Order: sequence, then structure tokens, then C-alpha cells
Amino acid sequence: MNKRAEEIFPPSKILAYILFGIFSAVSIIFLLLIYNSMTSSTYTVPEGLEDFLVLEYVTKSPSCFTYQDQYTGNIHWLSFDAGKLDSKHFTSCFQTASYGKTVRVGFMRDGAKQEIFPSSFSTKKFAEVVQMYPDTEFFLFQNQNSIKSEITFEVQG
Amino acid sequence: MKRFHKKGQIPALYAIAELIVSFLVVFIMMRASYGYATGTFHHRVYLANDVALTTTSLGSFPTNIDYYYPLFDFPYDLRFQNSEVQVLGAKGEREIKHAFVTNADSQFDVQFKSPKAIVISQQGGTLSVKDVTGITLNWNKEYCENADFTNIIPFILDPGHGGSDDSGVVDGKNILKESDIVRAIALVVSSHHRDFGYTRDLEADQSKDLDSRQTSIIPNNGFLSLHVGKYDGKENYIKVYYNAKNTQSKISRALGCKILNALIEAYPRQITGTAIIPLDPQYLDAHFNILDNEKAGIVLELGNVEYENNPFIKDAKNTGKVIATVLPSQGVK
Repeated sequence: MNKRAEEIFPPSKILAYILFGIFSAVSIIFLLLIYNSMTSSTYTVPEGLEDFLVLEYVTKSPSCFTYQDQYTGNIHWLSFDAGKLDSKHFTSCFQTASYGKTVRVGFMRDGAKQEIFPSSFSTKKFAEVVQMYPDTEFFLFQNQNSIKSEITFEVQG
Repeated sequence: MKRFHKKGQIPALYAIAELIVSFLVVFIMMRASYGYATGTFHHRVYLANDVALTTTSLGSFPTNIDYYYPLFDFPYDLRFQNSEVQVLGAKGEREIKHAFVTNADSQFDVQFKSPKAIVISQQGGTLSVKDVTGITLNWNKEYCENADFTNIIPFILDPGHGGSDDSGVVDGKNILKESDIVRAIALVVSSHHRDFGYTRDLEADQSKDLDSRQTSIIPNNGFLSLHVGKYDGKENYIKVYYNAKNTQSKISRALGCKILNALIEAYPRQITGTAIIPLDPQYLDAHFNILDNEKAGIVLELGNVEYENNPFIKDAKNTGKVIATVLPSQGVK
């Protein structure tokens, strides 16, 4: 039996068998990939889409900063509720997985610039920060008055 | 151990072990090649990305929304946990995951086994997800708050329009006017509720101006103003308008919501959209002045005169009966 096994699978040729197996599998991968690429269309997520959607959430969700009329329930996009602009509220409205996108918001109030960000925002991680909405006018809604305000957003992740 | 030292035995064992390893390597490579080449891996990556991006974008939607996400024959399990969606593969395959953004009130800790469809829901800013495999849904229905309608009696019906703003449609040789359509419906409602008042004579085509109709509403606690819209003939909406800034706004919305849902159940295929629209009396168009009071009441627009199969025109009798069911004389809860 042992003798026979050695004859069928000589140790000197086992490496060749393994290499042949790997080579065959890789060949099949390439063949199927070529076939697949010829018969199917490719879907790619546009670059920046996720950053944009995250900012949409921050700027338009009533859970975050957007002003909402308490009687009609109407949402006023591009108008922020001054009462919601603090880090505690932001942390509550902005929950995401540790590896997910996160945002820092800077705005002018009473002549001073303030920054707020959720706990997931790392102030040490600057490499992938993207600044958006540079030319859009935002308003702060405070005591029934709407005040034009300079607001900046940075997406990280 | 001694017998393994016989000549030929150890190389034979090595040979078998190496053979098993080589089969395993080939199996894993084949498995991976199948996953990549047939797209199942890419499907899962795509699915995780798309569901996560969709969930994030629904969070910023300005109104409540239930988003139907079909999955057809995707064989994967889905898990929503800790602000991330995970698409699970076959046993032993790593899950594909993608983060989304939500708020602290949203609860995501569910797993669905090969769902055919899911619904991602945003209600009042709170996100949730549910498996709707095999469930038939009508997405035109609205969520209605419970409200006590016992105090909206006495109740009055207001068959709308007439006069110069009476929209109409040519039906054969006749011109079918909005005032006639809603009067026919109001007649049926009235036959089920003899105690209801009305702002116009229901037995004859007698128009009354808006001011006198508004005056008729004052002694009552609740009212229903019936109308039919006129717009693109391909669409047929039910619209409910109410005064969002009076003390009865919640009851008004609940009343409109229940009527709207009852009509959708009666005619699920002929309604292309619905809306419940809160109005601020400060900015009311003259057409909606009838809402400018402290009563519980709604303006109900029953579809489109231009829509060929508008059931509210074709079947006024049943439409009136459906509305009457929601408005019992003793009130409903």
C-alpha cells in the first residue's frame, strides 16, 4: 500500500501537482473574469457621493441641525436651528460605525467661530478631510429670526 | 512510532498530507474564483454599499418615508447592527459591511434571512428597517395618529366649489363639473348621516359663494370640504389639507388620514399618490380660507377630473359610503 502510494504520488512530483492546481484555479479565475466582464456592466459609486450624502444628512435632517417648524412640521433646508448647534446634540444625531464617515461643522456666532463635531471625529486625522459647500449661504434660525451665517463642513473618513 | 521508520512509510504520509493540502488549496481557489468571477462577491459589496448609502440619504429626507428596497433573488442574509449593514455570504465567507449614518433614537439590531425585500423607514427622523418578504404593501397609505373624534359633532359637509372656479371635464356630450361630482358624493354621505349639516343645498345644483359656506361652518365643531382637482390626466392623487396652527390640528390630521387610508383600501389601483398637507392660515390661498377657523376640519381633494378612471367620479355611491364609514354620527376613536 505504502509502496503503491509512493508510486502514485512520488514526493518529488507533489510540488508540481500543487502548482498545477493553483495554476488551473488562477486560469479559471481569469477565464471567468474575462467572460464576466464581457457579459455584464460595471457599477461604480461616483467619487464623493458618500461625502455628499453624509453632508446632506447633517444639513437637511431635522435630527441634526435643520430648523423645523414646530406647528407645521415643515423642514427649512439651509436654515439651522441655533438651539441644536452643540456637540452633545450632534453626537446624538450623528451615529455611525467607527470606520464610517464623520463630519466637523464650523460656524460663526456672535462674531466668533465655533466648531462642533461628533465623538467619532478625530482631530488628529487630517489626511482625508474634504471641505464642501464653500459658496452656499446658510442661515441660523434664532428667536424667530433668521441670520445669515458662515458655516463650513469637513467630511472625514 | 517505530513502524513509521520503515522505508517508504514517511514519504507516503507526506504524499497524502500534501495531496490533501493541494486539494484544499484548489478548493479555496475555485471557491474564490467562483465568487469573484460570477459576481457574488461584487454583488455583496455593491449591496452593502447601496443599502448603507440609501439609509444615510433617507435620514435626511424632509418628510416621513418608507422606502421599499427589492432584493429579488439575492441569496444573502442581511444584518443591521451598530450603524452598519452587513451582507453575509456562504458559511465561512467573510461578511461585507458598510457604515451608514443615523441618530441615537434609531434602533438597528436585526438580521434577515435571505430577504426578498426590505423597507427602510424614516419616521420623525428615526430610522428603522424591516423584512417585508411576501408582504403586499400599499405605499400610498399614511400613518395615522389615534385621535378622539367624539367632539367633532355637530359635523357639517361642504361640497366644494361651484361658481367661476368650478373645474370640469367633458364626459361624452356633457360637461361634468366639480361641484356636481362632490355633491353626488356628499348626498351619499348625508344619507348615512342624517344628523350632518351641509353648506349647500344637496338636492339641487345650487352654488353658494365661499363666504356664506364659511359662515355655515361656524356653529359646528367639525367639517369636511369635498373637492376634485384638475391637473395632468396621468395622475390621480388624494390630497388632504388642514389647518396646522389651530387647536384642533391633530384631530384634523387624524380625520383626513383615516379617510385617505379608507379610500386607498377601497381603490388601491386607481390612486397614484397621496399627501397630507399642513397649512398655515397666515399664508393661505383664498381657496383654503375655509380652513381659517378653530374647527376640526379638512379639505379633501378626491383625485383628478382629467383622470380617465377616477373612481371617485365613476363610483360616487361607493366613495360616499367609504367616507361615511369613517364618519359615524357618534364619532370614532
